Amino acid sequence: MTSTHLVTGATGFVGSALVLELLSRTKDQIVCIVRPGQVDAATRLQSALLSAAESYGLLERLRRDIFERCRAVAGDVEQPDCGVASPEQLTCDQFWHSAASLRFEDRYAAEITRVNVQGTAHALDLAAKVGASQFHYISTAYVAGSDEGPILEQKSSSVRRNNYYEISKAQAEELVEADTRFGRRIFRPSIVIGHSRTLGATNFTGMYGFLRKLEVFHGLMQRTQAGLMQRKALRLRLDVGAQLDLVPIDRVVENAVTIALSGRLSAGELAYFHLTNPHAPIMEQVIATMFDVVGLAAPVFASDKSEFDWIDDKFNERIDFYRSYLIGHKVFDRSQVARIVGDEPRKPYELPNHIVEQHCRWYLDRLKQERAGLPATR
Amino acid sequence: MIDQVFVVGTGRCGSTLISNILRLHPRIASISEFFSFITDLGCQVSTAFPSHEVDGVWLWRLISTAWPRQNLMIRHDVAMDEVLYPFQGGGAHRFDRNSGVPAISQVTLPHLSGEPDALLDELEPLVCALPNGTPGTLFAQLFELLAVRQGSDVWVERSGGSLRIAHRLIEHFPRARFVHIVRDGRDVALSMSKHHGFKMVLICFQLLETLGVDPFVSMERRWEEDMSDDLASLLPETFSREAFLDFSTPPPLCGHYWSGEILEGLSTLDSLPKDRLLTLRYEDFLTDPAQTISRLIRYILPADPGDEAAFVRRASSLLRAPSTRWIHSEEKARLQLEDACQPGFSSLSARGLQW
Repeated sequence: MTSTHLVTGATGFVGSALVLELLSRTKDQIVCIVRPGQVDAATRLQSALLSAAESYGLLERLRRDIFERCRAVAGDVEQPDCGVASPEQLTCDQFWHSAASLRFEDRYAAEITRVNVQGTAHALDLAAKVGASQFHYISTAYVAGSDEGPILEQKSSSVRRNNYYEISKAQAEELVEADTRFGRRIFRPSIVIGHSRTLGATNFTGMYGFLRKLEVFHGLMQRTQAGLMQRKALRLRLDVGAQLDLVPIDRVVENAVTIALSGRLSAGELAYFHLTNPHAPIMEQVIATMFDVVGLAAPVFASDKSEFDWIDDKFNERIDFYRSYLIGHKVFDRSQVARIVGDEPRKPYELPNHIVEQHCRWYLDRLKQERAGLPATR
Repeated sequence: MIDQVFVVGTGRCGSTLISNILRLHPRIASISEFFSFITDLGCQVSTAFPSHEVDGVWLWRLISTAWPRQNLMIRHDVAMDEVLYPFQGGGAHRFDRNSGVPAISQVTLPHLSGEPDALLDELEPLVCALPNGTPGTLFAQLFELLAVRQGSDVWVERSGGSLRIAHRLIEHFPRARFVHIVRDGRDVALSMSKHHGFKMVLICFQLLETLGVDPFVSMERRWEEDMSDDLASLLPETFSREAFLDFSTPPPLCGHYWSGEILEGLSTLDSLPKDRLLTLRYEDFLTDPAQTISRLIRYILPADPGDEAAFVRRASSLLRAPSTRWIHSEEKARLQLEDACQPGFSSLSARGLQW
């Protein structure tokens, strides 16, 4: 029996991969709410899906499905009913809400709230109007804020969150938790990286954003004093021995779809799933690899700031957003995922240094191409 | 043949004083801040030194355009103190904060003439008619026009922070001689941290690197969300005087910048034969003005420095009592500054210059 999925955020990193996974694994129809940009919603959706399919080596297999089974509806999660003009004309069984703002600076606070919190309220209302019985919310594992130790797949009770992004995602979870009109699944990916086989990614926040910060800092210091960052080892605050939970995009969406297809939840039922990496790499190894790829001297890891010099202080200020990833031994429990998904192959999750390096170089090569035209100042 | 001399330094090293001193000498054409402004504060160096031949029309466009960074500063009333053109409006001057001020009119022409607009008009046909050549050839011909116009035997170009482009000057002006002015990096850094021009340069570096494009050339803002809140208020389209004044360029950053300039600059100047380089300490102008000004003038006019004693007397009147501000910083700030300046001092020390 086929059903219809309605997806928000389908032009984003997780959303587009999710749509491709649904196309691969089902014969279902997929309706995507897409905010028109410089082009209309349908063109924007097709472009995003084709680009994602190409990145993941799925273009040949899914090209036809993208055109035949995906439909764009113009909308905007910031608007009531997600900006859909005639919601009563839509019907769907499964509602996937993955639209989100991944911004974090203070100046975006209002936008983050509008998209992530009010957007979720609008998505819940729309889901009810289109008759959805299942509401799947793509949240983040980092609603755990500053909590340390085992993080369970349950309602987050963290009292200390690090930025507007984490706060907004936690508030959105509360909205989903409070709405008993549907069976609800809250999916919490950790730091999503490119495809485990092709390395491809379509959005460059998370690990890529950190890598970009390193590249920018390197470039800036190079303009300030050429060669300094090859001579000086930056000191970085992080918890040595902790894991950095990077998880390939294909593992995230494969597990999300497996779980969604495993059975329906009754109205009022609620389940949480950590779409994280059961074999996450050790943080300092990943960070050292990233420094090496960018061309920075090997970093020195510190548990506090007591030995920081001025440059260390400024560098750590610049990466402050990533503190919640770097500080605190978090171990994301995956019992609920394992219960449904069962044994998974280890290999796609494993991120030894050389694989981390491949992911980093994949992105850095593209970034360097973009930045090749930067003018000389000397 | 008109002699060619460049005064180079890190910026905030006292080199403006040298331009002002040299302007007092009737046989020297003091070309001030030419490269600072035609490169729009050093952010379009490649545009000013293309690798291909250029013509007079190209040069005219380069010097007569009101480039965006320097005019953004004028428009928001945060222009550098060095800007001599009376852009505040009033009087009979042609350009103001709304029209923008051409690069060569910001400092270079008003430094030479009380009527910079007339001088600009006078230059246009002469510059446009210059024959094709390398950028250096055309710059030299322009400087020569200015020197001949006032009966000078030599032109001396000096732009703040031009140590940064010393390698290009050496390449494009193969017979030019150089004066390198060096000042205690700790005082330089303190001065830079408060100087609007250097603040703008360091802001532009951050904008460039964070956005991955030059925001004064491209409207691409893909990585705008990576910008800190304070930097996001300094894009060309969001720039405000308040945000600029609030933006911090701390002394240690300027200290690292100074060290970088010294390391790279000394390495570049090492390639010059001894007779093409004179290195002077700024502090010596203040503590021993007669001897230091004499060394300078004898180097610039080796055949006949003219009435040296009279010139030294006039030039000395521009000098102030020496002062060292960095030692008054609080201990932590002082240590950070010394740490930042240490590589620069080591490099100077290896060449016999001590502080």
